[in-house]
Amino acid sequence: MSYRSRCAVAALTVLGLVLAYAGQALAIPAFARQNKAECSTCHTIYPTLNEFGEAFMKNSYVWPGKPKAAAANSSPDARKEAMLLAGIPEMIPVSFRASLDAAYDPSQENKFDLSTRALQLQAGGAFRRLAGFFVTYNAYTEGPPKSSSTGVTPSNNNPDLQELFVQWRHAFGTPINLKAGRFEPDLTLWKTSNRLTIADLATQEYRVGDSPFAVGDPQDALELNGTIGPRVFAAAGIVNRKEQNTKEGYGHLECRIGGTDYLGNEPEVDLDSDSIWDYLSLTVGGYGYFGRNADAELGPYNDDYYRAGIDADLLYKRFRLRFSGVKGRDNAPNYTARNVANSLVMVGEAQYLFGSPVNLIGLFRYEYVDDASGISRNYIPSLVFAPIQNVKLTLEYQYKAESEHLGRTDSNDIALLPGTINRIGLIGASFSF
Amino acid sequence: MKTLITALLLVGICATTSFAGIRTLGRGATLTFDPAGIPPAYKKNFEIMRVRCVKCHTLERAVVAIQTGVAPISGQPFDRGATRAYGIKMLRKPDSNMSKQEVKSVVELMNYLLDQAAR
Repeated sequence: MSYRSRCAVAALTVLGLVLAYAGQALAIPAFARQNKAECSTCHTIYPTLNEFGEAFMKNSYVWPGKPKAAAANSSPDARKEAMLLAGIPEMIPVSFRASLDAAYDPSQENKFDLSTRALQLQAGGAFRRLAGFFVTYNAYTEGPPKSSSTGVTPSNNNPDLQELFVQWRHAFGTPINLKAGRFEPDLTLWKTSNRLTIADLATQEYRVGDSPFAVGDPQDALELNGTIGPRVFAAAGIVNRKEQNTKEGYGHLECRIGGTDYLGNEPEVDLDSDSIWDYLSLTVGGYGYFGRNADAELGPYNDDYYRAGIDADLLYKRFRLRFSGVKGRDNAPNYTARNVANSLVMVGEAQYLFGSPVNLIGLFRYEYVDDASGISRNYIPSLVFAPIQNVKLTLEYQYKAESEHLGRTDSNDIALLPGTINRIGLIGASFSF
Repeated sequence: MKTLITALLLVGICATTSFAGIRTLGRGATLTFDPAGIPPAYKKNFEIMRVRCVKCHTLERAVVAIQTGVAPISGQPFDRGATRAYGIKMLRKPDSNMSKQEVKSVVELMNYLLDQAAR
């Protein structure tokens, strides 16, 4: 290991030790400030949402329950009343998230790459109880893009607006919310930011051929969503792709058995007798997306495609299991000829939460990625430590066994080129303020 | 007379603040229930509350909720239904490390304190 690498490891170790002894502190991003609630109200380790955090998000960033009555911390201050009547949040709802990542990849010329960092501006809140809004802006990113083997920064790798949407809550007095703007369509159970690892979930980031589509990408869209009863959530929307008139569409349905419901209510638990459902919750969701991509510069053909996926999220005490699978079909992913490409991606992840309060999570993820050009099997163990609630340190290892498609054999099996193995070590630190 | 006034002032400064029947100590983040105001039958319950709840938050939250009848963060009514709901929430939180019996004890204590505050 070079002198520079040793210095970097030493600096990260010192940073980790300092943070480990920093003691208790309250996290302070926009929602925490507005609601005077600590991060752990909505997160296990930030930014991973817990059940209540999901209910808060699904409720257009409005605190679940009835409008705040004679709240203990309410004040007759006339200025506060004016802000309330105007619908303006009392404090500017802005926060930042900074990420510093280091990657060790022996296959690269720069084996130990420290130049991967990002600063993201986040804003969010609610205008009274009528509408919620959310903004994420990539203020600065540097480092290899996600498409590379060590990439951990956003794929655009440039200052860019990632999300900007407003959600009209209970439009026209109905239970339906109307969401408009640029956002991640409600397809999977988890937003792309709702993860512990540095690596994205393969089901959300994989692409086929030259198609720009990925399940987790933000899109310019219009969506209707809402809860059907307390334990079913549904969403449907249309997406506008730039420079083409054809619209794309999607639908999503999920339900939760056990656990906190989508309205933020706790389940009924008998305090005098035990049941497995006291601690167990299972969320299952499915989605479909269909669309058409065209790129005249690459070829004359349109790529008509679809994705269909299922997700499951099981939580029992300190153990969490996530499964995600998506099947896709593109009929001209390179735009040059009709060339049907079938894709299949599956992810399984097991987590165990340590600490009281939780400050350490160990996880193991397995990914199977067949993106029609090759097959990759990824094994990702990771340790995530939160010395204080708004700081996350990640130690991650990625073992990727990749092989290219050669075509189909007579028995219709896929023939594969002998594979390559990539081993990547990652250290990441992110904090919000 | 001077001694009496001094003693009364000291009592005024240091002694428990009271709110509709419950006695408390401290202010702000150090606000807590006065152990002297907890009847013997609930001493064990209070000990569980004192040790377990402060792992993640101050007791000020519980005191304010019980004194005002409104949960300070959510702004929702804090009644017997709420004490049970919060108890279940804490039971299910993976980091609370609370058993059912412990949760039940704290819920019982909060219900008792709610009754006292309502007097």
